[in-house]
Amino acid sequence: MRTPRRRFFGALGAAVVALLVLVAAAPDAGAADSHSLIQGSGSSWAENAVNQWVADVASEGIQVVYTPDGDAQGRQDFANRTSDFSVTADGYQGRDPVTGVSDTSNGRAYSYLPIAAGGTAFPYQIKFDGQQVENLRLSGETLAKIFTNQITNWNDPEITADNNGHALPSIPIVPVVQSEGSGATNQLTSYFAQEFPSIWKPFSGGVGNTEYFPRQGDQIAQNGSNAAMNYVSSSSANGSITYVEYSFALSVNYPVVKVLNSAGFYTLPTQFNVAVALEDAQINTDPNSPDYLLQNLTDVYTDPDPRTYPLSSYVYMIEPTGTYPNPESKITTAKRQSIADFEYYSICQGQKEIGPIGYSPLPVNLVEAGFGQIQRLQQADPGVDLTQRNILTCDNPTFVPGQPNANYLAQIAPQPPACDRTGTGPCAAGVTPNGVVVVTPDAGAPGSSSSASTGSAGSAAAATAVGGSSPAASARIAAALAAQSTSAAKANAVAAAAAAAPHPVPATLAAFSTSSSFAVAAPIVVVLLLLIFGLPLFFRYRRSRRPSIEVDP
Amino acid sequence: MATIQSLPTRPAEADLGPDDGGDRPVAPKPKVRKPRRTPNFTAEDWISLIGSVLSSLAFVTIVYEHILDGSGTIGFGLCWYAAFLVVYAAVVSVVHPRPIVLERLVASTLYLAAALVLFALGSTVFYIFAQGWRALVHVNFFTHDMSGVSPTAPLNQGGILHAIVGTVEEVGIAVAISVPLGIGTAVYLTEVGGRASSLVRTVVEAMTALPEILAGLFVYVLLIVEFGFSKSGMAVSVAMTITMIPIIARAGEVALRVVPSGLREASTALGATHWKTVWGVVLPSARAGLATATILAVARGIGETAIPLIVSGASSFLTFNPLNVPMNSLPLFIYTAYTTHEPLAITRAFGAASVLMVMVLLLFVAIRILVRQKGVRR
Amino acid sequence: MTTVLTPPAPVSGSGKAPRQLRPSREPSDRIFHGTVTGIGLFVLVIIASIGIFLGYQSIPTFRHYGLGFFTQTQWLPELDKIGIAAVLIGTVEVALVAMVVAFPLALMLALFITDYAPKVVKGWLISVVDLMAAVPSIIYGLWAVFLLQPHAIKLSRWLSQHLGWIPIFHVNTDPNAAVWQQSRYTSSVFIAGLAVSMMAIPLACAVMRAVFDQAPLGEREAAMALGGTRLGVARTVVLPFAKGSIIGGTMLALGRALGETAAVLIIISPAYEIKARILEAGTQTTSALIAANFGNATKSQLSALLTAGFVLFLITLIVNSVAAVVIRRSRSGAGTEI
Repeated sequence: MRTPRRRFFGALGAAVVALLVLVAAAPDAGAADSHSLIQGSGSSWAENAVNQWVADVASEGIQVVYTPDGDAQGRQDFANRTSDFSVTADGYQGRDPVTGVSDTSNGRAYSYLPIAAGGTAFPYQIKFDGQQVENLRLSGETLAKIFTNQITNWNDPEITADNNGHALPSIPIVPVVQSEGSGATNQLTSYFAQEFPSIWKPFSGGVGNTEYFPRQGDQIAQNGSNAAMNYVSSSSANGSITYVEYSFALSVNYPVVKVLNSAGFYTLPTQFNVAVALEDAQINTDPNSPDYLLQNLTDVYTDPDPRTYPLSSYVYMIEPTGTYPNPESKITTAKRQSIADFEYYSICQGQKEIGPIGYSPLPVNLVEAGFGQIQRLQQADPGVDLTQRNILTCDNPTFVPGQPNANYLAQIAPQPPACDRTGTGPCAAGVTPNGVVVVTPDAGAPGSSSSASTGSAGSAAAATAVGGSSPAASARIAAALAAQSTSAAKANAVAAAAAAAPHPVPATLAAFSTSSSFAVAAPIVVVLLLLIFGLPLFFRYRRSRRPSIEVDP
Repeated sequence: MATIQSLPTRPAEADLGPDDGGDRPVAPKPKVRKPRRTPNFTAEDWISLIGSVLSSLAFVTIVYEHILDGSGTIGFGLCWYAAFLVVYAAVVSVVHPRPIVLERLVASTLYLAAALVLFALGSTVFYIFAQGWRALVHVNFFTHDMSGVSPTAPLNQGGILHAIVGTVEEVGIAVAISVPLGIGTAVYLTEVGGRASSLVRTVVEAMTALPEILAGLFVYVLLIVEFGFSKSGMAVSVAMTITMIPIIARAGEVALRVVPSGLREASTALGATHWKTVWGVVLPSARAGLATATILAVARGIGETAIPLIVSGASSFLTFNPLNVPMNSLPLFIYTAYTTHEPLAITRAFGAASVLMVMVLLLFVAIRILVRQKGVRR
Repeated sequence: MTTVLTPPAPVSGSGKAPRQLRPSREPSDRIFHGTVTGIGLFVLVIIASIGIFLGYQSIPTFRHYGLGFFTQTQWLPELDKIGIAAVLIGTVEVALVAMVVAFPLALMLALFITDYAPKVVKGWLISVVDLMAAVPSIIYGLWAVFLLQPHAIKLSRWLSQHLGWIPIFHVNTDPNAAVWQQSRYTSSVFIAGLAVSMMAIPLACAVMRAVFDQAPLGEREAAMALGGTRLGVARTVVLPFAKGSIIGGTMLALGRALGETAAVLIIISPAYEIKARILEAGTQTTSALIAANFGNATKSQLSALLTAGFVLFLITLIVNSVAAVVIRRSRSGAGTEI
């Protein structure tokens, strides 16, 4: 019987069949010309840089899906062949003789290439009397004691000593650590294990560096850098401190700790200070070693340059270099082309973008080495097209013409102000490069404009002193200065805004927001809900009130 | 011949006049009257209730600051409730005996409990829509995907089209696989039976206890890691079927068992084969129950977050291909957008949650329509 | 079904064996039976093999980690020091908190729907409760984090202030401080339990309500005729009748609460230690553990995760089976289908 119900379901069935046919006939997503969608996972430390590049290459038809779930997971996904590339700060560790745990790629051929540098920063929230502290300085030893639960209150004398006698009120410290296998944890614990083993080793049970922070006591664990940063910046987390890459704090304008370096200065993880620090990094230069291009940061921690930020490091991408179709059956030529193009963009044009957001661009020699690693993809599969790869088109702000091992940013890095030296300060009002506002708890508005112009004038002088003679070089200098001055201008704007209003702590949706759009939405939603839930009630009530009794004689 | 005493007859209609004497009864006109209301809860009871509420509120407002130091609205509510019980008991006991006092107290508690649960549910729905509203007003939210759009991009860029398509496609494939298998199992258990049927029934019942994350982990370990399939929408669908089949099989079995055996016997008596009986009589009679079972399973499958988290990647690209490419879905989109902790991304997450709620709501309306067939009420 | 017709016993003296009569089946029926049996057995094989695969994973796990797997609290994959002691305790704690909150609310809601609600709203309330069951758990998670948590931590603080001498309500911070440390009360077992209770309430309520409705009308009327109030009817007729189903429904909801993933994942902050302090930040449940660690797990750690999940599955299975038995044996459950 062709009832209306049957006809409806018949039409529905036909629609489903049509949809299935469409699905079967649809072209593979991302199969635009010669590219195919690639998946990667790994470091959340590098997340902001990678996401920036992913968004940039999407407009060129290269589709990348990146899941920032931690270094350890990234390496394991790559080893399980469930991802096409991964991003990690540490390479595969091999087999640990003590615990027997093996961290290998399970036989999958790979290469490392460095993609970015950056500093592990310590954002913190200390608020009292309606003010937020923004110029905290800490030495590495104090940080180690904080993260091993030996210092538990912000008014501890060691913290006061670091801040040149300026004591904080009694606020309990809440250390926030990362719960996943994280590269940031690895950076932190490497630093502690190397520099302060007598503090770190008893806490960690003898373990040196690890990607899994051994959370104890009142420490709070959060999954990933975003969650840790969000926790510290949330309204209920007064007294908390965590360790994430600098870009996470910078993107929400949150204060980070100035860390003491070996020269006795407290520095911020700006792109300049990180570049200075990483000049001391030892890179594996043996092309035949499986750890080719990996970093050894021992000398970075103790770099005597006053501008150094001690916790600086590189982060790497792991690319698959096995041949197609055997053994890499899933890495088609199109995928390999996508990987190659994505890597090329990342270490070339993508480098100039990551400085302002809180990373530090790679020096030339590492970019050239990275190009060599991309070459391996073509060796594995000749179908990959690597023409038009010219290092001169990269517009990387670290390039110094004629000096491939030099880092321009390190050369023009400004010296830290005198108030950042041990025994003086802490710095009162002022603006640092990369635009972080510095305000003391009892100072008024930051008087920033004069010191900002002093800062940029000083570095302009330094730049002309270093001297780029070619127009390209002076263009690069101008670009670097422009970036610096725009960040200074931005810092001025931030300072003005900070003077006008309390420091903008990123709002969480902790309660109903009171914006005007909500005021419009609320009554509409209420009316809708009343209609949806109230109408049936109303009709049923009407039906039950209908008179239905007749009285018979 | 004995005369039968005739009973008094009714006077003929013609004999009756409008005012015919006074001693003949006049048949009253049938009147339609409203039934007389006999409320349990008189006006006096209303007054005592409202009075107790207000007086306990006033009392607690004054006392709260001193005793409990602003421990938030929940603490206030608890104290108000305790004070209300005391006051109301006192007021009611003036007039009514003890059983009535207890009855009133318990009734007010029950009303409060129901109101609390409804308020919790209502606040959930309301909050989701209120926070996601800002994303929902943009048309691009429904027509674009998130390719090339960073989480901090303003709300007039990007959208959840890929998540909606992903959810519909994954659930569609899961339904296409699990409904035949589930209903087939239900038919096996009720119609065919046999020695293995009790074993099948036990195993199927046991599998309803399987947590969804375990289904996802199973698919991950076996299909993705061991056999090398890629993370895709198909893997999500397979894991969903693992959780959906037991629900459909069990609820379907109940629905089929409720079909009166008289129908089956009548069909057999008319010469139909077993197959024709099942296909033509039993299944259509149980249509409502089977549809309910399916929709319950679908409602469960739509909301599963843990499965796509494990076996599919959170892609930002729209794709119709369930096979080699990671496919996003609404719950996974909500989760990953939330974990970025960017305010705009969280607004998008709430917008996607609103869309998900509307989908579930529509499914439930579909249940109500399907169940109400041929005047069969719930 | 094949029926064998046994003819009546032969007349004595005939000496012949009775003839077996077996009606032949239609070919379409044979195909039908074969197909349906095939489907049933196929589903059985698939489902059973999943269960067996999960159980089988415990062998490499115990071979690698030994029985210390059940006593180790930490989860440090790099050192290969993993164990599910803390995780199981956390799972049980969250589920118990959820049930402590959900059981009275579900019971009261069910009683309200059947006995106290005005007839016009009864059907509507039933639909609303079913809708509550269908809302995805991640939505409850978002609700709990953004809307519930700021208010619930105030309740936590009040509880630890006044009842902190009870070990489970103690929190390692000073609740009487002028500026109290909010961060120590967030992301706790208590908040996660509240979110999970929102999912447990409709399940328990549906089971209980269905049975309350079936309380024999005669007994109800008898109680009312003897002068009972609605409370009296509930207390003497409905609740004793439905006792088994109340327990059964609660245990079904407990089974669901044990396996909750999405809401718990969003709310808690992972802490691998055995902790009875439910108001304090930090806990971990089995499903959240699996969701967080499945990606970085080596082969043997994947087996360990599967074993942890399998233990959870067994616990849920036992709870559900006990619930089914209690329901089936109770007076009310004899006819119900749970």
